[in-house]
Amino acid sequence: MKEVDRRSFLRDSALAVAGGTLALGGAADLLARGAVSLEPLSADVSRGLCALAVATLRKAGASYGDVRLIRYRDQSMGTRDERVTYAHDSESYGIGIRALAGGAWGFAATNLVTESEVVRAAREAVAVARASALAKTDDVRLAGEPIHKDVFHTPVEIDPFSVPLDEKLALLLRVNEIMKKTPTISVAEGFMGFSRKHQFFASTEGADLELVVVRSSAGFSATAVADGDSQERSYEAGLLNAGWEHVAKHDLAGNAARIAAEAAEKVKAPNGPEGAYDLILDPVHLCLTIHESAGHPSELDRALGWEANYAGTSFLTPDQLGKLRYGSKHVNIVADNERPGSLASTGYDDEGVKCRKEDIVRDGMFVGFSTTREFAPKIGRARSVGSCRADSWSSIPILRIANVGLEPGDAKLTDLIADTKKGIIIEGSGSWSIDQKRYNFQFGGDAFWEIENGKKTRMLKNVLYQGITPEFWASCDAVCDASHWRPIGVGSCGKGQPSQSGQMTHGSANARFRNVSVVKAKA
Amino acid sequence: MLTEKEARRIVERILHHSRADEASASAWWGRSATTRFANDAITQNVDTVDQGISVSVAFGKKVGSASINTFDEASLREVVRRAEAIAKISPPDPEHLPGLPAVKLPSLDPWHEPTASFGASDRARAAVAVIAEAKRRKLSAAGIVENGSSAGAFGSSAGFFGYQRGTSAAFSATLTGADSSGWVSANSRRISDFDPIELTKKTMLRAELAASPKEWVPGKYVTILEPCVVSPIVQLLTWGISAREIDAGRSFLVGKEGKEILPKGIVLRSDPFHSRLFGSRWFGEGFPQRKIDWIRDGKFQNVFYDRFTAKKHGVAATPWAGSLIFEVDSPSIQKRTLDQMIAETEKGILVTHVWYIRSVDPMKPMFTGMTRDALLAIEDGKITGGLKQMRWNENPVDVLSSIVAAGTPEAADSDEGGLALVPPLKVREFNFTSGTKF
Repeated sequence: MKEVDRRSFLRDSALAVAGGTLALGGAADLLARGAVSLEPLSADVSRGLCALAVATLRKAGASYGDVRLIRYRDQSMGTRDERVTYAHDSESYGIGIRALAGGAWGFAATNLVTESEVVRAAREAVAVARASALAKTDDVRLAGEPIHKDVFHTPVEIDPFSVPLDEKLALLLRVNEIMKKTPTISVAEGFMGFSRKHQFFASTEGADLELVVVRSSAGFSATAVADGDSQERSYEAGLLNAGWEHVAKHDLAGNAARIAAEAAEKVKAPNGPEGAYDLILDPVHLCLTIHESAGHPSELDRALGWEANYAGTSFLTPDQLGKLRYGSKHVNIVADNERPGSLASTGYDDEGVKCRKEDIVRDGMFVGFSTTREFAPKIGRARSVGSCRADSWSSIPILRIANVGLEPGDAKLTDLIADTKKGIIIEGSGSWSIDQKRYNFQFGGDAFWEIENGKKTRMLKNVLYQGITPEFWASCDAVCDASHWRPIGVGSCGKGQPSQSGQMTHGSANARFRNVSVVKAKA
Repeated sequence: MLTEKEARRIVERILHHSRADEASASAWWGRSATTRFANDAITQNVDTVDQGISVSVAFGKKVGSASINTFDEASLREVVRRAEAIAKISPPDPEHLPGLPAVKLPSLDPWHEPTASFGASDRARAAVAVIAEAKRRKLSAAGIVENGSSAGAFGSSAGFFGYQRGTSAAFSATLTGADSSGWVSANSRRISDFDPIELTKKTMLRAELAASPKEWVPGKYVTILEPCVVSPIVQLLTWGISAREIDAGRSFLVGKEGKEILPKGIVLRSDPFHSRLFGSRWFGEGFPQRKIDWIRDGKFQNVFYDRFTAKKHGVAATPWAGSLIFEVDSPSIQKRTLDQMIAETEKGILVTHVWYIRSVDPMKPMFTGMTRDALLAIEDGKITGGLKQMRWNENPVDVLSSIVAAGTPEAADSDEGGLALVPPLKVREFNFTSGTKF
């Protein structure tokens, strides 16, 4: 096979867009307006390189190995007041190779995607595995997985890279302009981000997968300054596996005046109280609550001590499966990597496992963990949930939180508010911190309203609440119905050494928690 | 590796391809290898190489940027084309300033060959030795042995060119017993600057002392902070010290410019050339890196000025606050070693690790975090045992205003802020707000 270099890729590639093909004239016009030219990886060349890596792994003595050849294209932009602060296009291309040899893992990666470098990296992965085997207690055993050969695309209606960059920037600047009309708004900021990941995966077991994942996000915030204080209010079309239609649906300009008005009201609002309050939490806020207090503790590698040196361990342990009451009967938490559009719903994970759906908490009882092929057998599960992901071709895939979400209930938000005597509505995210076993947490929010005798009244600011995870979830006495349910993405979850940034979606509907401890930071 | 000659060639090719009024390019290369262990076994072993070029161009004040991670000629031409396409359709940036000319840069070559060539077997042997040491004391070991090498360059059509290479090494470990643990972390340009076994031995003592943790009622206590705890707390002072944000009214320094907010004798400064810290030869778009005092005589002497805000204020641009050194030299603050601080404490808490620090109120500034690993009770001048972990909410200005004793600065790494030279500190009070179950 001839040496394949970057020039050949550019020459061999054809201009294409997911779901369609642009006419040359249209493409030239879009390029002139800052659209990103899409040049998909040549499938034949990419598969050939992956096959070469797999053959080298086998020859070097790996008992298992897998390969990810990935091209990322990202477009990001930001604005502050009347300025574009950045508008950037980035590309990263490379190959990551994992090897099991001597019962232990090795990994090597390179950005030089040539035949000789692929061979070198594959051999290096095996050499690194053999070094790992110097200190192992048991051989790595992998849960079985059918051998998949497939092509998977995340759902896209409008390719975000086909929307001209000048239109995107104009929209963000318009949003800022609207927000700055509100008195006391000192800073108006906005951002958009779009990514396309084109991945070829192959394994020594014969898996052959091509994945295309397109993501979009946008948001803005207003900072109000008054009386020696400053307060921010934000709005987001949070990160999803979706195209431009996701941003368009959110009507950023239509929400700008409201967000600015709420920031202005918040900065003059009274500080949050202290005491026991009923909290009604919106899906944007619950995203982080679920992430920290349900997603992380249910990662099996944490529970078994594998993240002890960095991200921490867990109060959930395998012996508690089916026995520990995690929350009230209203609490049903599901790891759903099948729901289209959610960030971990990529068809297959980064070790070729078909993404699945599995209960974490059912009727308040703890019943499941997020797993990978290495970890599933440790709790007697025949298959992995499909939660093995890496943040780049240059990172080793590790166990990540799945799309862990709170199932809807049957309540209506208006009824919940009317039914609450002394409470606080919390929208959006603010401060968040939790202990390394995921018990003690303290969370803030983005906007707060007091509830008095069934009525939503004045805004508050600087509200904090503290809790111990299972006690908090036990206090959940109502979850709103499916009409309130929203999927909200986490764009950057830190885990692993070296640290990786993970993405996952946590869906929920508004929910009420009774008698939660609302605190002041410092007396 | 990216040599200076190759870096210069790449930058020159970028400038050659660009048709913009101005262009600049930043090229980097890095190799990083990590051997990770947990539950007394190596669980992960990685060795990766990557590189990248980031290009920024301007047509008048219309700016665009792009990056790519391949250095062949077609890629260099393509990344310039992408940046120019963005610039051409972007609105003019009123804050855009012309590039900077060539300038003499300070010498700095933090390259250590033994660190660069430390291989998979070397890392594995170090990990195995730490695991064995822990096993002798019936403790379980988790941690990393890591090393890397990197090179970077920046050049512009205005004439600036700078190149720097460096190496890095890191070790950290958590040693866990039945109901307690100890943690250590070390970071340097040179693998020879720390001894994983010696660090492990000290950490195991902490884990053992913390066994059978008791519960103390959360509240304000006399507290001794080890250097790896002082490091992130001190670095919290640098959040929000941007002149742009002070002008916008969203910084804790609003209204406090030029005022004394800390005791005299407290110094926070940057020294990018210190052999034990990570530093660079230039900052921004081509300013020679320099030492800078942030806090002295109780006041902020400098804050971060980006180029445009500096020009607006008629001052020189400053770098971000990195390569930090924190020193205490005051007649009202005792000079004490850590052991002396413990011996002189009637009732207090020794904190060895803090974690998950987040801002609560940036205008105060108020932060929250947890203690982690060995949290130790001090009674009548002795460590009497472990304590269950606690959450804290604190204002770093308040903490540093209540220092009663300080030691000698030493290199202290933290997973919440990175490396700094800081002393151990004893403070009159530290605000623990709630407890947890372990």
